[in-house]
Amino acid sequence: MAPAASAQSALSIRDLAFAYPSDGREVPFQLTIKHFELARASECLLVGRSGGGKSTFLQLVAGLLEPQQGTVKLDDIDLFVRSTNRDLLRGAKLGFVFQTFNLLQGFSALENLMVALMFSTLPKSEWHARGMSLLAALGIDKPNASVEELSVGQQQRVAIARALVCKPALVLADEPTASLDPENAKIAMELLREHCRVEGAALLVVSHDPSLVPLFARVEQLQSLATAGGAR
Amino acid sequence: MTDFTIVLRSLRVRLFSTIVTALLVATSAGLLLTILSLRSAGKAAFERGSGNAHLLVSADQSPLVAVLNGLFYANPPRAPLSQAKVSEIRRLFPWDFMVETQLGDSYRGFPVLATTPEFFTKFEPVVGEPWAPASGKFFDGNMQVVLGAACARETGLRMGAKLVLTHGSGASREGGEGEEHGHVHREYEFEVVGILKPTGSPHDRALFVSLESSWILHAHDRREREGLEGKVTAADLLEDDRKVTGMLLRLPTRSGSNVSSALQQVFDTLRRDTSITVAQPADQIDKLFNIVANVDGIFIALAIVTLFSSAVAILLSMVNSMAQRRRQIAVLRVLGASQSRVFGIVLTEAAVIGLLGSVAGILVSVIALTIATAWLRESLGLIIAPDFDPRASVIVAAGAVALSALAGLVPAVMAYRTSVSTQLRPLG
Repeated sequence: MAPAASAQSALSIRDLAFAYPSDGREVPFQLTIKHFELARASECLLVGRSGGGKSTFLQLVAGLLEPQQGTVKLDDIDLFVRSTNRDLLRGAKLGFVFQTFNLLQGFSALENLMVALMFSTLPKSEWHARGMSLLAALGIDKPNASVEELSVGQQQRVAIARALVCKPALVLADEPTASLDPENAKIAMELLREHCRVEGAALLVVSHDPSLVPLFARVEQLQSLATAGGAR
Repeated sequence: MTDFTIVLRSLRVRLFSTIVTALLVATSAGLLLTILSLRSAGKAAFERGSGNAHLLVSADQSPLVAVLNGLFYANPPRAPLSQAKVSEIRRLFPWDFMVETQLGDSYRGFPVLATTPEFFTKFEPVVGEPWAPASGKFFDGNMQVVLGAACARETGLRMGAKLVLTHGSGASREGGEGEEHGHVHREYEFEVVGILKPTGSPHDRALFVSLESSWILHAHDRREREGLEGKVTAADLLEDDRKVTGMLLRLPTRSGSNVSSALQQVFDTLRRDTSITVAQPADQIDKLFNIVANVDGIFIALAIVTLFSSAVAILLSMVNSMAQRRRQIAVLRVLGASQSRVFGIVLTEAAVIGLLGSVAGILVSVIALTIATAWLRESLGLIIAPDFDPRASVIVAAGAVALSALAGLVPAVMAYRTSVSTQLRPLG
């Protein structure tokens, strides 16, 4: 019997089953997760081999893919019921940090945050102050500089600020250190964890980088989630 | 920050492509507007030249040619009317005016109209806008010349200047008073006694002298051929020297009365005389524009095709840019943008290119019209006031925006279907 979901869950997954449509030539990729739970303001490192379904897992959590069965709850809201607007929920409850930052080119650092705020539930009157204060907290002293003008380290910080600016319940970090050298990877990871703690957001880092393992108290194997649930 | 800010930023990131595509729309929208404006302005310019004469009589081969020659100075009429015929027509009806004219001479390529003083006092080049001298006076004697406004401007002739006329079309305007296109009447010098205010009609290109002056010039040529020497005076003129090539006729009108039925009756009576050609100038101009309407239609169709091709250019440009843009779209999707919202953003981008292009097209059209009217005035003497129809501009701009948005459908669908997973990282 699966454990009961916590009332304070940032992410709750139960009996999830997903398979890509078959093209008739080979067996399609399938992902099953019996049970996964991540409490608010907690953190977890999800590791797995390349091609093991980490990206698929993230898209399911973001509501960008729809499972054949099971439930995914973000901040206790079921993503895959008819009444849920998944785009709105993603904008309000989720923050993303990508391997290559994926900042919007041609936009300033502040504008990258403002774009994220467009899809949030925060009042418009708070957007500017919220963006400016978060950028300042992350050490960005030129908020109006175009992101192309920023150093790689600064771009990483802007990406972290963008993930947190909407006060999400959960931040998903997809290989956040893959494009950084070990020293900068460690700095970036510490920065991300620290600011998630400050903002009260849960952090789920998906990576195949073994150097991250010692940093996290909770480490899950994606493959093991298929059979044994993890809740903390 | 709004969706529209994203649209503008996206266009700015692809600035070169945006400008080139918008310029393409601008060119085609501008071309379409220019053709539409020139069509209406051209007709208005032609209508201005017909003046207040109800009828034009000449010995030309057709009514249309009579109007083109008699009022638009296309060519000297083929043959003159005899004085007997002129007198016969004069007696036929109680005309309000009957102005005799003679064409055939020129000055540096500008046509010379020999006529009677009634041409200035009764005939109006534009209905309700009588002749007015900008300086000097209308001629009141022989060997005096009055210049049309455009002729004065382009020849640089001033009050008191002396000139000689050429029989025939004369030398080129740039050249002097050469004889390469006709005989120069060097024996009789004309003095500029008046320069007319512009009328916006082809008459502005002409020079005006008294009919008797012209008869004297040609009587001199006749006498030379006969071996007679000396200057000719009015007393030396024979009946055969008193040739006219056209007559401008107007029936009496009373305020509130309709002249059309009487005019038709007179017209029918005159038409029975096969030795003359009688034309109603306004009708002939309508007929001329009906003939050229097909050509107009072809030009307009070509401009519309160009507009469609610019929409295809928008489509290609945006589809090409989608390779770079898919990542941006995937980021927007991850941040919370719905598929329909990114669809709308891409569609708006296409529409904005169309809008920018059509606004630039309106400017292109104004510039093209200015150049075209200057060229028409310079080369054809056709004075066209750039007449910009705001309704046509709005319709063309709306059409360009709609077409651009239509062209944006394909990239918008591509944006709608963008796979987030393949754009943001390799599938894991």
